[in-house]
Amino acid sequence: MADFFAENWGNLASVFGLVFSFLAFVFAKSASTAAREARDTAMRQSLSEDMHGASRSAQEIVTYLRDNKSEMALLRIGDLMNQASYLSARWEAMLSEKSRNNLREGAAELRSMHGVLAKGVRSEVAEKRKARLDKAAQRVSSIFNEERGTAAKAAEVRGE
Amino acid sequence: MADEQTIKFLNGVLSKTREGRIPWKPTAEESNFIAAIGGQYVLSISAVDEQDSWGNTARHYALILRDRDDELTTVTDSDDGIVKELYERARRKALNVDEKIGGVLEVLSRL
Repeated sequence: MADFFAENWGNLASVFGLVFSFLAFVFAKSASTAAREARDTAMRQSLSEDMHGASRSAQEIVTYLRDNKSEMALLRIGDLMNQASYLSARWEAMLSEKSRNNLREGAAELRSMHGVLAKGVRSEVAEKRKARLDKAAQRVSSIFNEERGTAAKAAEVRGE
Repeated sequence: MADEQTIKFLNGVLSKTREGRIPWKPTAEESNFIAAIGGQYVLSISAVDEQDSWGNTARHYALILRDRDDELTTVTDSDDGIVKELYERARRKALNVDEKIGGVLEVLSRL
């Protein structure tokens, strides 16, 4: 036995070296996969938080309009327009076409609301116009709520 | 006069609108409708009433294509009369006019 080791120690060392190299490769690969998955999970979580913030702003607009606080609604609309631009630019690559369309539509709807409200903020907003604004705010809120749900679902599915 | 590509664009939007493939939506403005397509572009169609110096009111129609905040192109009814047809079709789709009239017809048939 001792003679065998003495005569073949070089070959055995090569075999062990090969086995260790293979194991190191396997561990490195699984570590890299785990790191990538952790990064993806963190990104999905971050997207979910961003959508949550936008959805909350949209709901605040609905409330301000309902309470006839036009100037506060106008400020929040401006904020949400900025948030929508940020969301589109930051998460474009991760979002589906439907979500990107939703965000574009939400931003366009906010632009229209901003225009209407900016014209009428000093005077009393006519009843008909107010009803349309309320409906528009509700649509925007639904859009951001839907996107919040989609993002939260994606974060949960990946987190399981 | 609109260039060839703009006319192609207008005809494309009209044809897809006729097929009901463009998801036109209402906005906070009574005579403005929007549709987001391709995850990138927003179509916006509006009607604007203008009064001339004689006090006569004329209605003008405009289709705008936007990419984020950039206005890529605008087609007005002076470029082509079909913008008015597009506006009317977009309005009907956005407000679900056909479905609602269908509902009214059903009610009428029961009277």
